Amino acid sequence: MRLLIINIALLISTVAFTQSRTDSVAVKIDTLQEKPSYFPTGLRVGTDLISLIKTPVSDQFDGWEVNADIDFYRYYLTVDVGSWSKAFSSEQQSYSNTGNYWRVGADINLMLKDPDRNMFFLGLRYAQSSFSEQLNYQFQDPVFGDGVRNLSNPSASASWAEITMGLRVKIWKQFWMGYTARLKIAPGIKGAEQFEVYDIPGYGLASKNTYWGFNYQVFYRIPFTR
Amino acid sequence: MRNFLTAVVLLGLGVGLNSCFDDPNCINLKNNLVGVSFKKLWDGKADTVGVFGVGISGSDSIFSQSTLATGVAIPLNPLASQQILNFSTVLGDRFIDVRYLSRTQFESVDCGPREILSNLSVFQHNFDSVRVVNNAPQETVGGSNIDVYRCPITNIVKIQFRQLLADTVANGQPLEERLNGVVPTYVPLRFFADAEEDAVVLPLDQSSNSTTFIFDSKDNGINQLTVGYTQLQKELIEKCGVQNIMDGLKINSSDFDISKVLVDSIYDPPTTNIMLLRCPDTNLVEISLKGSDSSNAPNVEFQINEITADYTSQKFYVDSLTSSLILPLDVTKDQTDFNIVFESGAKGISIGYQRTSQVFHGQCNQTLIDDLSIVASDFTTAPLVIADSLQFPTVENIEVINN
Repeated sequence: MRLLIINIALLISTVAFTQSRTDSVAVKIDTLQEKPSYFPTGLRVGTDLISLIKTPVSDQFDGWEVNADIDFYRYYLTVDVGSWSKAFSSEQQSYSNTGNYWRVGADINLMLKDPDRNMFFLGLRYAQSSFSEQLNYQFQDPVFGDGVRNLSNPSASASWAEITMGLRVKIWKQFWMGYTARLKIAPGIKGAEQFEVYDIPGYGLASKNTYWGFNYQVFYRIPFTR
Repeated sequence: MRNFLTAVVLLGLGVGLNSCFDDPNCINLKNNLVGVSFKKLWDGKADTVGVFGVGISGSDSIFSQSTLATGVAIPLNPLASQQILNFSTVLGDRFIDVRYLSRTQFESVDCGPREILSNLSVFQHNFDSVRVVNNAPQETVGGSNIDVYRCPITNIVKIQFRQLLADTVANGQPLEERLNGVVPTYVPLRFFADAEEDAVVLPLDQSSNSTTFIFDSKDNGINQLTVGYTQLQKELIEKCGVQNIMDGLKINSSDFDISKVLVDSIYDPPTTNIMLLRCPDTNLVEISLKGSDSSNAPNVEFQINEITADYTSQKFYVDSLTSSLILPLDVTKDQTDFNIVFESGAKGISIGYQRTSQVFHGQCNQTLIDDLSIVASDFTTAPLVIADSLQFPTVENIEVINN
């Protein structure tokens, strides 16, 4: 919940900042039709701040995510690579997983003429994850007796699609900040050998056919031209 | 643009709040109950079956013991993929060999793991017909996974017990017989052991044209009934093939007071085929026991060791605690002497009466008793005759004050 509040506060400040910038440039709109250039102007590389904060704070999560995008006029090719591990335990059971994931996709910038390359975007992603899971628990049944079960899915994988939406706002020199909200759809799962996959790195609860995701990101932009 | 960005912020907020509702409900996570419904093959309607019990492979537990049921719910072993359900019913022993898929799912940190059972199928069975109607086992008792159908039973006879009264009503009233059991002589089985029934459904011997039943009643002793019949070979339902059908029922012999065939064909579900009627007991005197001679004194329970009569060696009310006695008078004499052995000592009472003979219902030659009187008694206060004519069912005839 604390993270959520921090996110919301950051989001509101970002939106307010974006709003003031877009209002100020509205008077500079050029009515001449420029021919669009599809030559990329720079590479943005960033990371997910939520994963970075959660990893030392939570004893159940360990992870990181790196994001990159490159512009082709108003379109952006994006690539994400990440890793997460989760672990839960109680007296009766323990669960853990670890795995890597990647996403590739495209965004369309709906704020094309912003001089600071701020962007509000919509996009699509295709994602894949490779991971392993372990589940240990005490089986208790009044009819069939009790016992201990140790189950694992050593080489599971999953793929899914995402609809994304987000903001990127220049905060200082070559640094941008923003968020990406993800609607993750229909995971396809393979390799669930001994038990049903519980948590897919990069996706979340496997039992949900749609799932949401949220990244709060900071980017550094490497320009190709000056 | 401002409105649009506001909408975006609210959307983000909504997505964030949505996370609060991710935790699943832990209630009823197990779905390892398989519901089995009993049905009739010819109309598809529910069938009530007498179930002695249902056993399952891998456990010594017995489910649905001694019950009349239209269905049972039986747990499946979540750690197995195959199980045999053994049904012990009045129709015989049956089994269903079921196969299923069991997968473990880690539900949540709070709820822990559970086994999800699915893909239920029937591999083998020895019921007449079986159909899987839902291949996902249940979380709670109630639904049906497997419908079990049976062919019509063509050898069951329904026998009803009736008590005739000292009146002109043709078939009297239903009689709850307190049975020690009913034994068909062709098979070493005791049906309706220690049961109280006004009707019984019994199987006829399919290898013979007659069946003898021995009825052991707690109140009326042992009686024998032999039922005769013919047998037809006929296909009633295609799926059941040619069946042996009993027909033309008749009473070959009986030592019940009156035996009647009402319906001489077998029906399923059974309809009353035979009535066994008992003549009214017109020689029963009812004696109430009181502790004082005040006019409205209630009956008082006394511990009685035994009661004997001068005309029989039978002992009545042995080691009984009772406030009312119903005793048979000697129909061959005009007086019966009883010796009542209380815990505190024995006391005698001699009852005199007048007898007349009358035939009820054409076959019940009864002795009617009236003009009761107390001929002698050992009680300090002379017993009082309240009603001097015996009735059936009995009424209070004599009041005894045992002070």
